[in-house]
Amino acid sequence: MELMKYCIYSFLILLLLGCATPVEPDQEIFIEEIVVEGYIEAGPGANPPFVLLSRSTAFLDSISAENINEAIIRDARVRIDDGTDSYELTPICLSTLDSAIATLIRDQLRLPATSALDPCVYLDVSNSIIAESGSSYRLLIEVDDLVLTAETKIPDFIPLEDFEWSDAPGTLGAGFRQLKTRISDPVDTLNYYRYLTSINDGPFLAGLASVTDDALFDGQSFDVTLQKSEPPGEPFDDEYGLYEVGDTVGIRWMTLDEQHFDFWNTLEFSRANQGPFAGYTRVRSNISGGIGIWGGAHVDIYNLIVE
Amino acid sequence: MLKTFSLIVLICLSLCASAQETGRVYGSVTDLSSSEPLVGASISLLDSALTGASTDLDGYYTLEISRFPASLLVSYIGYQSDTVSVMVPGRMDLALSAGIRISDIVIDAATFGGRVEDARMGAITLDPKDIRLMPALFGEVDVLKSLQLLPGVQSAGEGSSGYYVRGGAPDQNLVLLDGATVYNPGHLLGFFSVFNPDILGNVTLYKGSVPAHYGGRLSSTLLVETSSSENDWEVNGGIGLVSSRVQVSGPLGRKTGVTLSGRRTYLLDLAQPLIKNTDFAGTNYFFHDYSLRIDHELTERDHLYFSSYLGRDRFSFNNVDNGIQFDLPYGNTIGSIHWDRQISDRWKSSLLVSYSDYRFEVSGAQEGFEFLLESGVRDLSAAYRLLHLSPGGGTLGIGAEYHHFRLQPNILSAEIEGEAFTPKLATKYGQQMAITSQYDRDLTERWRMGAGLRLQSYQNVGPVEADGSGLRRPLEVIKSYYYADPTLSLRYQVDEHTSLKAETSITHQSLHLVSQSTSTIPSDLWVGSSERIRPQRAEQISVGYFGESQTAAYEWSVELYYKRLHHQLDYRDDFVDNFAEDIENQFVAGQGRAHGAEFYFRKNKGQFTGWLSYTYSRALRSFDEIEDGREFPTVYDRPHDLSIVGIYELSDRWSVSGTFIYTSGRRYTPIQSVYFIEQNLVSRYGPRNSARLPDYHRLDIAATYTRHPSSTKRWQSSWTFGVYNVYVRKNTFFTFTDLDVDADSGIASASAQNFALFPFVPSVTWNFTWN
Repeated sequence: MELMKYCIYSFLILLLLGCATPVEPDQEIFIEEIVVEGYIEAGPGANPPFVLLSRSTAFLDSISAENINEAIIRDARVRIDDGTDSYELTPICLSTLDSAIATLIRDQLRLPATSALDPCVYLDVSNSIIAESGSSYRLLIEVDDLVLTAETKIPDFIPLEDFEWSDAPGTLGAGFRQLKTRISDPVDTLNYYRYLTSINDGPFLAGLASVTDDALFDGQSFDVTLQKSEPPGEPFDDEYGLYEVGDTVGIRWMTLDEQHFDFWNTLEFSRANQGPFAGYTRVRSNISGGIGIWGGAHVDIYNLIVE
Repeated sequence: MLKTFSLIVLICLSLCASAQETGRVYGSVTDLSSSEPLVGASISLLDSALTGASTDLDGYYTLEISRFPASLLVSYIGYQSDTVSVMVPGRMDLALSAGIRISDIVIDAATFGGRVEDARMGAITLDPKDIRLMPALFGEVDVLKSLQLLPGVQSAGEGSSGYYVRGGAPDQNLVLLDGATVYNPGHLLGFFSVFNPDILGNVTLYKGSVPAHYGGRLSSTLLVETSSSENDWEVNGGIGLVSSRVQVSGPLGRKTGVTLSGRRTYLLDLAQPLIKNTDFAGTNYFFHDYSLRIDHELTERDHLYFSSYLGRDRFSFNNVDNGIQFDLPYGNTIGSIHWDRQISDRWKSSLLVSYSDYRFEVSGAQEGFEFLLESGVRDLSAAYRLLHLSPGGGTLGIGAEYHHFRLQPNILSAEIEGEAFTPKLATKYGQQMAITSQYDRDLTERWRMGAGLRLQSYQNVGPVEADGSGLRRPLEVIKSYYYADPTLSLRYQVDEHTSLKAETSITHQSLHLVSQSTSTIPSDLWVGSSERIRPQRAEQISVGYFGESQTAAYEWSVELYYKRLHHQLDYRDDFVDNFAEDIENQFVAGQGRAHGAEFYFRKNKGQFTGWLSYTYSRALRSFDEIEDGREFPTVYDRPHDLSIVGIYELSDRWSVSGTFIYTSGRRYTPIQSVYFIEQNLVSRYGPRNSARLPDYHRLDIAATYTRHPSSTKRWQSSWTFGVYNVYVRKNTFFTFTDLDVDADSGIASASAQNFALFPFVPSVTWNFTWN
């Protein structure tokens, strides 16, 4: 019997010796496209509207800061139309800012001072756009003789209720907690939600599954657990998604329109859907003439201390 | 051994009959012990070999003989061949006895003669004894993997028992176990088939035009028949590294026989001591399956048998540290009752009632949160057939069948802190009715034809809460489809060893397996046709050239086919698995086409036997909603597919075998570019299935040692040693993409790696027989 056990263990080891070999990417299939990442928000937690523009890059083993800087579009004409007025956004690049503001933005973007990245953002510098729930906003971009358009709507807000800290599951102990809250979903309307978390005034991050619709709980009032969002690549250890007692937590809670939800839903599913039998999922976009997202949202931020 | 009463009758007849110039001999060929018809048995003239015939699906044959008396050679794979004298034309029923042990590698050339003579092309009968001698992954003999070595049949992937036939999807293959449909023929994500090799009797694959009473799928029909008990009690089985199996069979009185078999894997059971003291204590995976067959001779004319199968895979995951528990059981429950009655010399009837239930479940829990995800398909059916052997030598089969389907989509229920979330999706129901007829006969000495017609209906029925129209009562019809599936096959006998064949068919399929994966997995869903989903349809035409050597030691064939497919289903490009959404909303319908050329060369006689099979094929699809309607290849569009199989009998004690496989790599959808969103990289995919993995090839070998091959002792045993992937080819199993952004350095990386499985897998299996 002992001999049989050794045979089985040797066999198991052999079985697990499946090996991985790097794939040389096929550069011939590369097609460059213009990527839009823009948001317009209403509500007490709203950021001013902004747009990031870049070009997609080839699937390379290493994409350097130079590659990224080259991909960033700095000379586009970007406008937002609310149906009554049209507002032009101004491109602002990190390298053009004075050092104090640049440092602030670097910290927010988690960029070290030594980083050669020079991101640019198109902003409403005069704060003339006041975004409101129920309104639609059209985005128009002109770049290299191309015209890109998109439209988004800011939905009504549905707040979170009754925050509650509870023990972490399993044997992790009292140092970690999970956050439970409550949503009262309106009846007979399609509602889409997204949340990001921030720890100790750090940047707001999205988790692996940051969006949901109300298909499973339409019209119900129900409890939900909001996991701490972990940076991409964080290992799935026992503390994953749990809050540490004593930390300050920010919850950025948003309601989205359907196209905005579809973008994040397909993007997050596409990221997670890998493995031996997985197919692929194409990320939906509401940008005509390019890829990416022009997303409207109603936002509030809840600040809590982990108890 | 032939039934002696047939001979006695013939001898009596011969006393009052003088020699005749020409005449027709007809009848059936059956298994001596079970009286089951033998499909594809060969009957040929012994002295001149000018004329031959093979039995059809009901075990009937017809043979034109130019001069009486004559001697016939009757043979069948795995059975003892025999000769019989024929004095006068007329009916002659024959019976053969199974009598070849695993160690007896006797493949009589005449057993393959049926491929030349039969009007139907694309039908191949596999010998379970051959299957047991071939090399196998982990030493686990697998009938479905053996099928993949035949022309026109492709593997679904590394180590997989799933298969594609002539450019069709996996759900277009009907798998019947003793007449009952098997809805998931794979264990362990498809790495093993559900068929314990010990239970196998006849195994026949139809990949061209399928006889009318086996319709309902577009690409192929696989008939797996379990073996019936012998006249004496017998115990056989085997112990391997992955699983062990045992089968007991024998008579219960003079008229009843029983066969009971079981199999279970234990790889992770044996690893439990290693897991016991970790956070994963309680985690395990195993599968087990059991089958039972009871045969009973009600009268001389009535044969009754019951066949059942129960198989379960079970994966349990437990993590004490974070309190997560998962349980994932799935499997088939199958049962069938057959009543075959010889009404008269020319009429026979068969009644089949079957039940097949495939269920998949995932349940999980973590402190205050529980969920259950269930899906499955249940098929209750009854079929009745009348078979008539006409005086002119033709065989006519007419029948009727009924299926009632219960189709459960992924239904998710959950409970959070005592608050229950009830599922909104409903189980769906369907029923299928068919009237079938199949007529086969010789038109002239050289021409033979087979014609089939299947008139079929599929109805989406209640109970269901239909949108906007309130509740539907059970069996209340919501949507109906009616269609006719005709088939026609012709054979022209060029000479006694060569024939040309052609066939054409139209087929429809009402049930669809929807899978977003690149292969079939246990959670794939069966859905029925409905108001939104039309039945799939295929039109196929094929021609073939079949030949054999003078002594039938060698045989060869070339087959060409072209197939058009309609109403094919596929997921949208932007599919997201959403348990709350009706599955019917998540896929789209389109067209397809497939064409190919299949080459087959086989050596049947001598110490060395084996075959070479090469297929060139293409499989393409087009959907209005995918790639803007442009035609694209399927994931299994692998133009080149070569298989070489060799079995060499070194001595009475030793036999060795080897298989070599070479196929074009599987198609996949490549990443065309990457872009940044929220400072993370996102993949932008290129055209669907526009790239190909590296070509796949592999060599496997096996050796079987029988200690006392000529022993008359009741106890016998043999050892089989094997190596899978001898030269450690790193065949890509899947590609994993890693997109990473290092905020500190400001550098991003996009990389992909091909993962390979089973670099070199040795195995040893001990088989035994006691009788």
